[in-house]
Amino acid sequence: MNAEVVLQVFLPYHQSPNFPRMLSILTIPKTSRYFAPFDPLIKNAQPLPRSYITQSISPSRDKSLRLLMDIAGMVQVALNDNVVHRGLLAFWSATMVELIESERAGKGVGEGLVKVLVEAFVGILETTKGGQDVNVSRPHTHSFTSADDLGGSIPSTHPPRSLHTLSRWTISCPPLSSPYPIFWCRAKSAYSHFVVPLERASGLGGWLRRKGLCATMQSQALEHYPAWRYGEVRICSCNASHCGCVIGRVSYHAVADYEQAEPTVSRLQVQPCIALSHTGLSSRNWSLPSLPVYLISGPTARRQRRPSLLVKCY
Amino acid sequence: MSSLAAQLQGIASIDASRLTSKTGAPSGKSYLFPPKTAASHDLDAIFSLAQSGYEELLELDPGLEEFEESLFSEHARRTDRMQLNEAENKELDIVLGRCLRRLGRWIGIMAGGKCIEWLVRRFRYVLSRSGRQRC
Repeated sequence: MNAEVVLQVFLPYHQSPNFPRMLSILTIPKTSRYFAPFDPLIKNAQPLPRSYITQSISPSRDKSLRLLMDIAGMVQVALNDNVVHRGLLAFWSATMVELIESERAGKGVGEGLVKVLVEAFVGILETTKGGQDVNVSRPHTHSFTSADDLGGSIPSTHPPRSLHTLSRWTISCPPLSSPYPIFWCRAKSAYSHFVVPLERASGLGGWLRRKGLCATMQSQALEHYPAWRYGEVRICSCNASHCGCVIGRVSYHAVADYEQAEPTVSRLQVQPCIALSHTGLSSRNWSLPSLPVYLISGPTARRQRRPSLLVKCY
Repeated sequence: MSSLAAQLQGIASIDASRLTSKTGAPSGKSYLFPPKTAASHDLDAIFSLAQSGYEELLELDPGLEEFEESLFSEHARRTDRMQLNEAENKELDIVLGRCLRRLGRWIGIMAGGKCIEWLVRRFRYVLSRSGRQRC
């Protein structure tokens, strides 16, 4: 049905004026699963809070789960058509997380909900063309040749002997079995599901404390993207005769730049540091490119009069 | 009524009077304009608007080119859903759905709004199929 496609396309904009503008001219057939939640809103169409959508797709409201399956499948449909965009991902991630949270706070997450969500997640994870925005757990590979900054600036005595003569360096994120967070999400309310232990971001703590941004960082949520920037990295190298990998751990040891983008958002430019675990060597002297990180004050932080942190890397 | 007139009436779209009217839409349903303003814009004006939006979007998203012939061309300008059979209408709905999903990324900018306005006014995309048949 047309109205259903239109609603799916406009739902990511539920809080903008575009949504009521379209909703007000929609004709939703009575047989549609969207009729019950959205038809009553047509006469006096207004931007919708996400909680309304979450409640509408909740299994306790729609026992058939048809609406939930539609919303959960939105990203997969967009991926199939190669039309996925960040607005859609942000809406989808935030809605799914909010749904899980609300169900958990209520009667618990039911079997039907789990089945729908798992199917949706697995489908998305299996999609190879999703790109970094969709699936950060699929290895993103940054390759450096010996002519690039990394290869060219590593002191010849530092890398392990087996890697010394190799011509190509690759840094990749952990594989699918990684314990690190899977989905990237821009929604502020979603951050509690993307917790990375404090030690993963060691190096930022001191700077943040000096800025008064992070008095209680231990309890804060830290979102990261992509995973390898905070977690373990495999540094692999191959040539015609040999392949070798070492495991390194990423942290940040310097803040190269800082700006307050808006009252709740700070932007840092940080310098990554890769420590090779079995040698104790670190990359502090290597010319790794710095990475932008966004610190966003969350709603909890406002209540506590101090910012909680949501860190994003792009 | 003459035999010729009866035959002509038989093949005429039940929606023809509306399609050839000055405003092109009986209900004033419009995504961009309030009903009164929408009534003053005929389909030619909306088509020009859509063309400018579409060309702007092509710069941003070349993938939209696949919809040019079916939805944003002179040929599409003359498409009358009421003269299409059910299979053709279903096919058109599929193309419209894919186009709208592609436009989803650009809803926040005016060019996207212009294209959506065209889909709403020309193809009455916001109506259900049964709703279109009632027109």
